[in-house]
Amino acid sequence: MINVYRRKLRNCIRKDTFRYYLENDKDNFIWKCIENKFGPIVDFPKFNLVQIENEKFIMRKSMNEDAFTLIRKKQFTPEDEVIIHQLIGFSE
Amino acid sequence: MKLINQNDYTRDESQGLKIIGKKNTVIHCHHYNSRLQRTIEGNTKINGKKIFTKCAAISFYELIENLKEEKNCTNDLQIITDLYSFIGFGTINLSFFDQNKINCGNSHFVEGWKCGSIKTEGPVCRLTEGYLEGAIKSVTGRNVSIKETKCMNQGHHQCEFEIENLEQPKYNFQLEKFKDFSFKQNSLSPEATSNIDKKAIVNAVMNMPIEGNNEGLIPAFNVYLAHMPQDFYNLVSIEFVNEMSKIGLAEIAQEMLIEDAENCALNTFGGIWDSEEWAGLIAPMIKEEKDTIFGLVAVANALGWGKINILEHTSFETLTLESSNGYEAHGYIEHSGHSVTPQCFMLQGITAGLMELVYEKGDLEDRSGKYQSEEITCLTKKDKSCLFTAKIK
Ligand SMILES: [Zn+2]
Ligand SMILES: [Zn+2]
Repeated sequence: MINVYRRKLRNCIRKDTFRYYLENDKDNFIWKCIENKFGPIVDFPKFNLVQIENEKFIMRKSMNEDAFTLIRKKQFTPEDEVIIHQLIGFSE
Repeated sequence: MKLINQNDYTRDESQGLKIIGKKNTVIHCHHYNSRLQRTIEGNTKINGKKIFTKCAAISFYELIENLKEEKNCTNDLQIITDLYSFIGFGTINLSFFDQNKINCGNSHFVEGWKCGSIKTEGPVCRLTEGYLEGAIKSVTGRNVSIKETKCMNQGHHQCEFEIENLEQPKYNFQLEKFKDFSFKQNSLSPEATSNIDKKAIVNAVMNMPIEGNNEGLIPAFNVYLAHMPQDFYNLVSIEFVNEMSKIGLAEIAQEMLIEDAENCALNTFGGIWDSEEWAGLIAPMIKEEKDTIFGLVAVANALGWGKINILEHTSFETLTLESSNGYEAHGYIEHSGHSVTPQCFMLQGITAGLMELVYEKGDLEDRSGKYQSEEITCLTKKDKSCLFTAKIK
């Protein structure tokens, strides 16, 4: 089972910026689900980094870690958060 | 099509400079920018709000004049909105320009004030007021004064500005003009050894295609970044110290600027250290404790702050940085000539802040002041370079 937890980032972009940790997601299963739902992925090879960006949020992930950062934009709503949490299997 | 794009930047990786419209641009984050504004405006005995707005107006007037010439573009209002978003300050809507009204739906500075530990109740977008005054003067020739009437910082859904037409120019734009960009480029002493591939980091960070997104903001390295013409920071700092010296507070003003930078190091570099970008690019290079500082300083070399080397570093104890072409020294010499005392308050504060970030524990707010920093030599004193030390108190 993939264990998902999150941490608020201390030096924030906004005060509600979290990094989500995807423990045991060795095959990037969750990230692939995210890609299928919200893609396409943009690749930053010099940073070994991938990112999905739309009008409401940015999801940014270092390929070195099983974690990603969710950066909200002004149009991000609580409903968007529920959808993302359901997709990745996160609950508080 | 946007009038400004990545091709408008000239990047000098070896000298740590990022130039647009003949002006070096300096990257700082929303924490630093709003904190600096708070410092400048905090003393009620001087008119800090005016300093901030005026310096923005003058700096951006010049930058836009240069860009118009370079790009051979006519007096198109679009350059006002495109430049503002491109460099990361937010979005400007000029749909009601004919009615002397402007609004902005996103703001780098509002985000900074919202994140900061000290709040303010009123409008905060002084930089936008100045930007618009300078930009409108450059593009239309009109003499205007801009006043923010509603601000997102007060809970409004957008910031609103009113344009007042003036008979005469609000500022002497020509008199205050800085020379276009040119640095003396002295060589630096060699950097102390580490496991960090500084060249690779500078190359990656400097060539990141960072520009405002659909919100006109640049969320990168866990902070909102913005590109500011270095003239702005230099003018603000010089005018602030000048005004404070008139009321006998020059030294306090300098200390406040150093403290802002110390906090910048804690917040900006704290954000960088905790970011996905760091995890992808720099974390794999870290082999021993001291490497972290070398990684952070490598990133600083890609922010338009000039070229900075670490001459000495002992974990937990000391750090010595050398800068051959820092924007503060350059701006000071150009504006005020040489000095008997060092003038690079930003880099001095950064030197202490980096040590506090990497080696102190606990809340960031509580770490400030744990290291003592000093600028030993300075270009403004006709020394060969600026040399900064930090040691534990
Ligand atoms: Zn505002
Ligand atoms: Zn100096």
